[in-house]
Amino acid sequence: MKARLAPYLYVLPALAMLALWNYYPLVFLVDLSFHKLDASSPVPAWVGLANYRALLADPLFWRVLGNTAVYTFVTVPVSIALGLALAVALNQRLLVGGLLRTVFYTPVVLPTVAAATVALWIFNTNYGLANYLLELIGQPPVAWLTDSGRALWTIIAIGVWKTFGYFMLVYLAALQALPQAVLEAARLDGARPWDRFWSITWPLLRPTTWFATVIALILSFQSFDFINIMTQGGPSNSTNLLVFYIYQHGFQYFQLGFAAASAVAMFGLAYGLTAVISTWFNR
Amino acid sequence: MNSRREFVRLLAAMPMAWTVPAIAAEPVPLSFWYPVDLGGGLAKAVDGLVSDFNKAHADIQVTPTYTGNYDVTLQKIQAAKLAGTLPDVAVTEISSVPVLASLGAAQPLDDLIAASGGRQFLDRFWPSMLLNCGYNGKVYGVPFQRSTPVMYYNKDAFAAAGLDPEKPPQTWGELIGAAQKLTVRDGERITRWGVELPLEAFDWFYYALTYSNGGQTLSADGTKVLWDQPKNIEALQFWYDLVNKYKVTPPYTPWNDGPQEFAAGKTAIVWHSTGSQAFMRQNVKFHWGLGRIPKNTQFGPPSGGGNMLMYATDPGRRRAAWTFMTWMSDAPQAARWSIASGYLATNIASWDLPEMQALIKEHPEVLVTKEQLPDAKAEPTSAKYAPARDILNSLIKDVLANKAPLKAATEQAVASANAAMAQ
Amino acid sequence: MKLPPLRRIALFFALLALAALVAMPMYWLVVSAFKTSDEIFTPTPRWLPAGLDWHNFVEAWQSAAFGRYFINSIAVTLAILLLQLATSSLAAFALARRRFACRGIILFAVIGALIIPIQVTFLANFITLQHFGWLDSYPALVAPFAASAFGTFLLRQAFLAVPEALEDAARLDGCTGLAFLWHFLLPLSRPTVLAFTLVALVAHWNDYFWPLIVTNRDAIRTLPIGLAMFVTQEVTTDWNLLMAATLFVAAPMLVVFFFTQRYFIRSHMHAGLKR
Repeated sequence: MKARLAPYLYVLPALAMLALWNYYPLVFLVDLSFHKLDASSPVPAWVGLANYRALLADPLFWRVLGNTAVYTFVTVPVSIALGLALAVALNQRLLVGGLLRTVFYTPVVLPTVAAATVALWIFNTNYGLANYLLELIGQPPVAWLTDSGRALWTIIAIGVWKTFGYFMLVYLAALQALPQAVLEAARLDGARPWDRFWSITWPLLRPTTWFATVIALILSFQSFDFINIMTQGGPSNSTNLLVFYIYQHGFQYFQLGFAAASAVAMFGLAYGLTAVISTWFNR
Repeated sequence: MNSRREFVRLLAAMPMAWTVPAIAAEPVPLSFWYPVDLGGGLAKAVDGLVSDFNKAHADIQVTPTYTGNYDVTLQKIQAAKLAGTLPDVAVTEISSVPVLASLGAAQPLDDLIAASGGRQFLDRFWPSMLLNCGYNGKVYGVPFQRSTPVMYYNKDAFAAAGLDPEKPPQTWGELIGAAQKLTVRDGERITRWGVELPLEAFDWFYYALTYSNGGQTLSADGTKVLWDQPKNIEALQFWYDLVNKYKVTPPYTPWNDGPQEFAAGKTAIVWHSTGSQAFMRQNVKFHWGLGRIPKNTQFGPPSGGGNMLMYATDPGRRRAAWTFMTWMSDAPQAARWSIASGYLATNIASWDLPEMQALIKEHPEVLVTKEQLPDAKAEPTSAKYAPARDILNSLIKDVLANKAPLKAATEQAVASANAAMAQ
Repeated sequence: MKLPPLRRIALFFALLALAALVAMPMYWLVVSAFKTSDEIFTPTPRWLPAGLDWHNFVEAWQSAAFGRYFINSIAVTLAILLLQLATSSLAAFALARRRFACRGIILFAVIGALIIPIQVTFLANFITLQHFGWLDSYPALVAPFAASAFGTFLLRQAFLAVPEALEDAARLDGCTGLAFLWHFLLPLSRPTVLAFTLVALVAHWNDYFWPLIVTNRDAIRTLPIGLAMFVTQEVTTDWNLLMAATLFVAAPMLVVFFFTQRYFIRSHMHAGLKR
């Protein structure tokens, strides 16, 4: 009997904590999303689906969804691919390999407020490092953060820079765990490195890649810090992502019920995306 | 007989005796939240002020807490309102007074003001600062860390361009003329801008321009924006011309970049907050001066900064909090805070104190900031203004970058903003 | 895989170039920390400071209670880490190595918790903490993070990779259940445990938002709050102080990473198949 109960007891601590601090807030939020809570209604008033209807009717919401899609579908594959490439390259005894690994991981470790401030300086149109370098090679300056067509791509680049180190780390750990015997056998068989990678290593890394994709999705929420410090969603809402839209409506416009509805929408989309990814990876 | 009278007299005296321990009770604890918006060293200045208050008032104990910037302070207050853990006093940006009042978080101060002398008490403040302290006819805030825009200009660059370094431009026409002479071009590229008007979330310089043209941008009841009225259209047109017709101003300068670019010599004139004086003193290596924000038909710099609001509801705490708030705005404290922070001294009398006079002697340009105060105007705001503000911000960016036609886009923005505020 | 020498050298230089690009912002950060304020805003970038001026570090350290913040950051981050490792390994053990009813649903639920960001949870958690009376205290900083969906997941993956044969053999030796977890599963998953540790350490060490929301007293606040004091909205940032402060906030994490990353290199020993 005790053996049958054991697994439930093992998951209990984690599950209980998750329930209290993650699931309950979600329920709270869903409940809040059915109420109106703002400057004209300081006490929550039930409005049913009105917030969701308003959300779907807001053209800015759709714009924000588009921005978020672009951001997510670029940063996730790029940062994972970069992380994987570096993990493979650095997974051997190289001179100063340890130093290189640390350099690539440093952006991850840097507090966002410092990274954002440095980024603001680097990408300043008039005296920033990026345009200074462009000037050195005879190119005209670029309005990295102040041109509404460019700003999102600059934020994407910063997002990749800040997170690829995580994936390098995760893949390094995974490469450590690969069965050496199989790889040795393939090498002795004379297979070329490129082929060895794609036909043996890559499939073995699939669970890690699945996991990395889910983590990349979560990390994309970090973009909030950069947007909040660097662009506040601008110029002209070009860097307004869903994570910021929620904050903007909840804490700048004081429309808590509406913000709750958009947060529930974001969670739903993220969860749906994760489910799709998981199904694809585990087929 | 005598002993009975004695006894009765003793009995009558007893309630007094009982109240004595009550008076010597624990000091009233007050929580005071403040955002520090001008750098880390200022937290020490606030702590110093608070500790002096506590020493001078044995019956009150104020605990100061740094709460991040204006945005995060608002978040903490909102969370605290929902959880029932509001502070007693907090400083927030002036445009959030209406919304905090309408949420029932901030409390009206009229009874306390009346007890402190009513109109006479309010007269200690610059009238323009009081404009953003009220909501629905009641007073909710006391000015604390206030600022206005001001024009910083490079005196060395003026001299080199043949302009009088002691005469900054006072009108729009003069500004155009000066900026044209100051802009340095290298073929197609501009290596130094004539003037920069940084844009930030509160659209300050839009209001500076519209007020300078005699315009009002928000209806008196706070429900409709008036950006499409002729005077305001003209103001935006002027800004547009600076960028696209005279080409002396870049289309978009982020707020923080303004002073930095000025210090780096990338612009000869920059409009920015009076609060940036400390930055200029520390980082600018050339001769620089302060000028008033130029007028077209009138001088009218908008207000900015933070007010102290009260959230306490218990009568005992309210009185204690009021004592604190009034003490902080007394002339010596207002002067002390202004000197330490670079914010404008809110108390009119404090400008005459010796320490302020000494500051003015050492930095005569500070007088320009005082000169602007009588003409300063309110920052447009209402309980639901925040989405309108963001729409205005996008409008300005799009128009200046030539991505949208001025009149049509403004009319559209007005419609969107009015709709957003009606929700 | 071992590459031929020429390829190795080419790879090495490519990595060096990439590292230079990635490190450029960091370089600028370090250099700025040694500059005086007016050296930072020059018409063209100044690559080297005028001198190694440690004054910024002293001034930054003194602007806020950084000593106290340091102690708190260490205490809070370690407490969170230990709790997360404990709850995650237990749960991952059950999810990876035991069959039981609702296992699928629980796994599903854990994935769900994985993607709930702080913006969604903080308001409710703030109110919950207020009900418990834990606001403005250490439990407020630690309790909401006692479990980690991320950690549970990562460890489940690692535990799944250990062959059943091993567990059967261990059982014959009398090593079952939690003992097996402690003596075999965790040591064999060391790279994963380390990876998780590094990620969790950084996430909580750098957390600015949550501590700021739930704490008021300096006595229990953490490092990132001190850092944020140098960044402003109305005027411009105290650059040199912010960079100096960033260095002493980020340094411990970098040191930890540098000394543990050697575990992620293939050694001569084969991992996992020997006992």
